[in-house]
Amino acid sequence: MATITIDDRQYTVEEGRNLIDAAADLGIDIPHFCYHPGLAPDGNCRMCLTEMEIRPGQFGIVTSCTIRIKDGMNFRFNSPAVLDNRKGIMEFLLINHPLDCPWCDQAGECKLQDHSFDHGRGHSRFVETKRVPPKKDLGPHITLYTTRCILCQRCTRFCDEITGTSELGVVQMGSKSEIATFEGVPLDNKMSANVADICPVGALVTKDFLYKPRIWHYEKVNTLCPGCATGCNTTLEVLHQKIYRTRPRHNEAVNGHWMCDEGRFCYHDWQDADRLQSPLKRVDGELRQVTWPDAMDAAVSGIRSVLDGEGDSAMGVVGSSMATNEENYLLSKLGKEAFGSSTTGLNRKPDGEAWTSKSGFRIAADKAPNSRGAGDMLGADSLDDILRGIGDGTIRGLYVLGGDIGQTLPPEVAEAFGKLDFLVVHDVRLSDLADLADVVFPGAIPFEKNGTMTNAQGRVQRLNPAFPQAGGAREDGAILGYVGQRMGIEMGGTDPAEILEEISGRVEGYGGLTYDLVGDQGVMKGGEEPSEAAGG
Amino acid sequence: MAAALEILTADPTAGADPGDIDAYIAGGGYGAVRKALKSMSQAELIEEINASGIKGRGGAGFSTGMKWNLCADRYPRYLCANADESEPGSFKDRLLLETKPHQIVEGMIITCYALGINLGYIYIRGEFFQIIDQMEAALEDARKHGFLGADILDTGFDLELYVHPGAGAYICGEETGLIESLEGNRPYPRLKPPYFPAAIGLWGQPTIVNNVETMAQIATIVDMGAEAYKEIGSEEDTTGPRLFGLCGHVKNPGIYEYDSGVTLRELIYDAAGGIRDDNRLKGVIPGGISAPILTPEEIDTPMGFGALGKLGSMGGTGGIIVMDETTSMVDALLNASSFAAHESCGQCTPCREGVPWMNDILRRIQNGKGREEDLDLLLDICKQIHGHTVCVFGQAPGVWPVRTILVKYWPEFRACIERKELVVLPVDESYLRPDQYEHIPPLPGNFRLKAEEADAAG
Ligand SMILES: Cc1cc2nc3c(=O)[nH]c(=O)nc-3n(C[C@H](O)[C@H](O)[C@H](O)COP(=O)(O)O)c2cc1C
Ligand code: SF4
Ligand code: SF4
Ligand code: SF4
Ligand code: FES
Repeated sequence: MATITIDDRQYTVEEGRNLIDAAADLGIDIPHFCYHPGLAPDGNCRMCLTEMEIRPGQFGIVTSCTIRIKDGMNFRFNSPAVLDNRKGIMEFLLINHPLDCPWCDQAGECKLQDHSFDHGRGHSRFVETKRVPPKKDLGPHITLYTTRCILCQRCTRFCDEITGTSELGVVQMGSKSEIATFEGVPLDNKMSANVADICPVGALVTKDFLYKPRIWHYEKVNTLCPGCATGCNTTLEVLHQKIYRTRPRHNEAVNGHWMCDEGRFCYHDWQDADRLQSPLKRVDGELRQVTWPDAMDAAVSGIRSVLDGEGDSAMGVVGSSMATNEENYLLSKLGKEAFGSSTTGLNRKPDGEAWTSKSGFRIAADKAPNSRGAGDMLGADSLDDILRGIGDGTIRGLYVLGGDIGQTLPPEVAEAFGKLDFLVVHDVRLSDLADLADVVFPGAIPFEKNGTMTNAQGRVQRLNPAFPQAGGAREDGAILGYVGQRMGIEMGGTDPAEILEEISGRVEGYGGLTYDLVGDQGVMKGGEEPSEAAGG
Repeated sequence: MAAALEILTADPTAGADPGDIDAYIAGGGYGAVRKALKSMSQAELIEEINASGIKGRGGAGFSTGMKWNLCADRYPRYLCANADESEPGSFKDRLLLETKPHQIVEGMIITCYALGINLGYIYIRGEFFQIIDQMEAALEDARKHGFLGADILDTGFDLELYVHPGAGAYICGEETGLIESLEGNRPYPRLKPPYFPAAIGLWGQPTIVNNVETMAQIATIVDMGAEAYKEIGSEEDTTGPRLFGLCGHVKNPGIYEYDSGVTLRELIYDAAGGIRDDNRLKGVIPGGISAPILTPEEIDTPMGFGALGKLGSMGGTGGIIVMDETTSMVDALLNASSFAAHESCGQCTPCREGVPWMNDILRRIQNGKGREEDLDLLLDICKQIHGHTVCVFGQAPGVWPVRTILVKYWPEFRACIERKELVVLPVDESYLRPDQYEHIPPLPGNFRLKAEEADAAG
């Protein structure tokens, strides 16, 4: 720790921390444009200039963004020289700026607006002609409103430092400088849309979030990306039960400040999916829409007849790496307590492509968010035991959690499931899995769920719902709870926080975990890392 | 009248092609390299340069000995000889490159030997394409004669030197911009701190960036010995010969070699033969476009770094731009400002936006559309740029010409605004005397007009 002085007051801050970040920790805002905590400082915007004691009693102008805290440093954040400079920088940045806030998607979260309001001079002394470079289509996801660019180079540095793909650069010199791509080499990499998040103004925008409702209308929901086992922390922006935008939420231990494009835009596939409107029951060989009580009766009597006819172990359970820890836990409990010691399995997605960026950001090969947690809850990480049981005739019925919009069953699995006497499925759409079932319960998609998931590193993190379940769907936990109840066992509460408490007493590695402890930054299971660090 | 010198302008090849290495050697060339490598230790050489009192010739007048001593004790170290000469009004490096390629190579070899450097570059302005070829040839000849390569003169010292053609922008001459350019990047100057080249330079290693004339002078110092060299000029103004380039409205433009005690008046009226058509002098920029202008009343100053600094100007590159009574100072400033607006690299906000803005305003004034408030606005923009930029460019040539030409020739700018047209006032009415600068707001930072200096002191 270091003791520093800011405007004659003393503070204790972390030694070596960047001054802008250290000040932010103290609740002091040093206005800045080009500095971003996820990128190396560049010192080009000059907005953050402040006065520092360079020799005893003598202050000089320095860039805050390049200062690392050392004990005894002494700053003046509000001297006339500092305030004058901010005013000057604001004027310079605005002389060529179009000020088209009324139709700029950044309005409301724009650094230029905010700092103008706080530090600008209120009127312009510029009577010359503004430069008006045309807008540019930079790549599949990103458009550059060139006029709005303040040349802070966060975007070029992102492509240099984080992805290592360097598609963006500056062309021309002086006030003619423009962000550009090379002819024929678009901004097209696995993380390209992050540049829109870090652009402090409305210059870089995603085509996905263009001419959308004003940003202050949205409800913000902190949750996780369901796109892969990395489990990037996200914030959803939601209006009228619709997601408009996903943005990465900072978590140094998981995704830093970033997320991948596939994960960012995957919400469309989920929220636009053709969802099941009600439970389904097989009647005369065909799936028909039925009421909840009807489906519940059919499920319970189907399960009973398997158990009664073939014995306890004839009913297996298959969890889902799309479902939360709590849902998978309830499923395994149902299997153990209502079906007798049943065989468990996990239906995993075939691996996709793994990718690691220059800076170490990882996209997992496992394209499901909770394989690790589901495996922990079920004590199984594949369908091997289930398939064997079906093969040798010991398993005659299954209770399967589905829930993936992309789901396809491999042919051998589909064939095996087809041999069963009775199959209950939770799913979100009429998938090939649902297609084999005798009873289908319409479950929730990850964006509708409350619960925890465990990412590939073993970090337990919270999932929060953006909106209630669509159409006729129900929370999977509630469905499982009701089935359990009908089977005559005590399932306990179906509130995820309560279930997590139960999990913490029963599942290895989850000891001591509570919703509060998991918080919004997650915590490593098995206490591999002190709970304190997980929050920081 | 100070006596003209013939040291850097001497012709050791006695009329032969300056690139002819045999003629150069016959005239005593590469003697300095032999002397340094064969008879002096590294420490002795550094001490010799320190003792010589030479200030670098790149413009800032920084002590070369001190720069060498600041070089971090890390290896490998690199040398960059700066031959990007692009400052308007400056053409002395070009003359040296054309007439003394081998002396520059000598200086570079000696510098590398003294500092334990095994790899050096000479970064030559891209537009000097003939010079680039000649320099390549000179390096090849030096290599063939055993002055470059492995085990030079059987001393065990290895050195490779390469020519690097410049990337076509003035900012490539700024030492950290040069390094970025050498690394293959846009020549955006680096932040200082921490990127002082002597600490963290090329490829992150300690790097000495010296002007090519400084390199040539190193050979001269070793040739003459520091004792004799020091006799020329003075410590404060710089020792050793200086090359002054006179251009503009003089009868005989060209490069003239004197010590730093020569006055501006002597250079203009004696060396360069006076003003064209015997017109009256209106103003003179004493060291490249960035150097603050001097009025006819200020030309009795000696041309040393120290003396010009005291006058609120600077020694700069020694490129002297002379303007006679026919010159519109609005035109002159617009010209300087257009250069700055064109050459701003665009990396940092104040220079990228402020310098072209001033250019727009000046163009408007030239077109007779100046407004009452424009002159104060210009001064205010100067203030907003000054001391707030990444590199010195924002100030020189961004701010200083505006600040000083505008402040000193205020009446002529006022006249243009009032009469709504370009006006050239008679010389005596065109500029203010120092006691009339009072209404001008002072600048933050280290550069002040002389009258402000007095204010600050008093
Ligand atoms: C904008 C700018 C342009 C410069 N251009 C040159 C140049 O063309 N040649 C040069 O030698 N120095 C130039 N300099 C100075 C160099 O940064 C550096 O100080 C110099 O090369 C050091 O040489 P010296 O110590 O031998 O004087 C320039 C500086 C600035 C700020
Ligand atoms: S596009 Fe945005 S992030 Fe990129 S330089 Fe311009 S303002 Fe900065
Ligand atoms: S890396 Fe994985 S978790 Fe992160 S955004 Fe991409 S798909 Fe989602
Ligand atoms: S001061 Fe001008 S030349 Fe120097 S870095 Fe800034 S924009 Fe570039
Ligand atoms: S944030 Fe420090 S210069 Fe831009």
